[in-house]
Amino acid sequence: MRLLLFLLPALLITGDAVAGETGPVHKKAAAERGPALIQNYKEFGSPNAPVTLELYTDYSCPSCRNFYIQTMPALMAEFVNTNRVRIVHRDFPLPQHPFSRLAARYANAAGEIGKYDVVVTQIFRTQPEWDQNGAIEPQVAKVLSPSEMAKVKELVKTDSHLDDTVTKDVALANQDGINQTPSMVLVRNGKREVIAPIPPYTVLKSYLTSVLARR
Amino acid sequence: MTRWLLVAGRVILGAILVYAAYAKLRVSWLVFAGSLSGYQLLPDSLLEPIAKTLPWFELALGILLISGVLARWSALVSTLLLGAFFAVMIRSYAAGLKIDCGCFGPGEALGPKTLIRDGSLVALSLAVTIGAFVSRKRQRDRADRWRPVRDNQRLDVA
Repeated sequence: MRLLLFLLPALLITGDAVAGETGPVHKKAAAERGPALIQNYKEFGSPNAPVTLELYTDYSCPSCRNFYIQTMPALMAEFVNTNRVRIVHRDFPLPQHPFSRLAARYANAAGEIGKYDVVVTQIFRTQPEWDQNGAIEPQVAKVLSPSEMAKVKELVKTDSHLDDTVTKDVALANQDGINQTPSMVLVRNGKREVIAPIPPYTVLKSYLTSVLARR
Repeated sequence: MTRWLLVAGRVILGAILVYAAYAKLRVSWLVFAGSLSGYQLLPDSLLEPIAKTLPWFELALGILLISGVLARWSALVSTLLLGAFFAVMIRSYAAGLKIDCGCFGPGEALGPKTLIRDGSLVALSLAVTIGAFVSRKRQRDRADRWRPVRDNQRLDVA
């Protein structure tokens, strides 16, 4: 009897854990929500990559800056540029940061003219300079040509749809139960898993390597 | 009556540990590694091994408690484990870290509610441990009291 009691929960859990790896959890929801809400300039890597990482960041969050400067280059080089992982950048401006939405507006405007990555990197890199006064424009101007900057300024000033992706990203974050930045949603086999906070790159790399090796 | 209370406490504690393990094992270990990293306590090199093994350890402990195999020792280890978790949670909360508890899988912020719940678990585990050791000691004392009488009876018969 004791042996039975000992073994039964183990069998139940093991079965469920295995099912959880490939199960249909959130499959329908992921299929319905994911790609339909994504602007192309916010996506990096092959659309056919077996793993998608959706990164929720706030431009004023210091941890997001660290992640973007320290982890992103390695992640891009080892997994995204080799078409093994797709990255989707999502905005999650926190209410306590008054200039996060403005920064996201500049980044999205740059995305409209094909300069998303350059401007996002610059906004994160120069975060300490604009975070207190909201002077993002001079920082963005340093990495764009005058004509590109003029287009970005115009879009930031007039485009009423520039915040649409931010609104959608925030709604999606709320559905995923995200309440901090940086956060990551790992999408694999149609299953969405929230990783928050994001573990160090060595741990992330080990996980991605083992998942991709099993394919 | 006390014996049944002890069994009930042990089974409840075991079931909670099994559920905690289940909640972690149903998602990838990276989720738990993320929660662990939030506590800013472990070196990077330990995050992966702990995230991979701790849920299985919780599962084994829970099953031992439910089944009653090695009851006293599994209760003692549970108390030490839950006590360590609770201490880390208190420390992180006092340090003002806004992090995920990671206690029963993802999506639960560390706060007063989680602290009260885990504090209650430590108290339950401690009560079960003390009860299990006291109960065992009483059983031994009772056995020792009766042994000489039985020996005498055997001598008489002989």
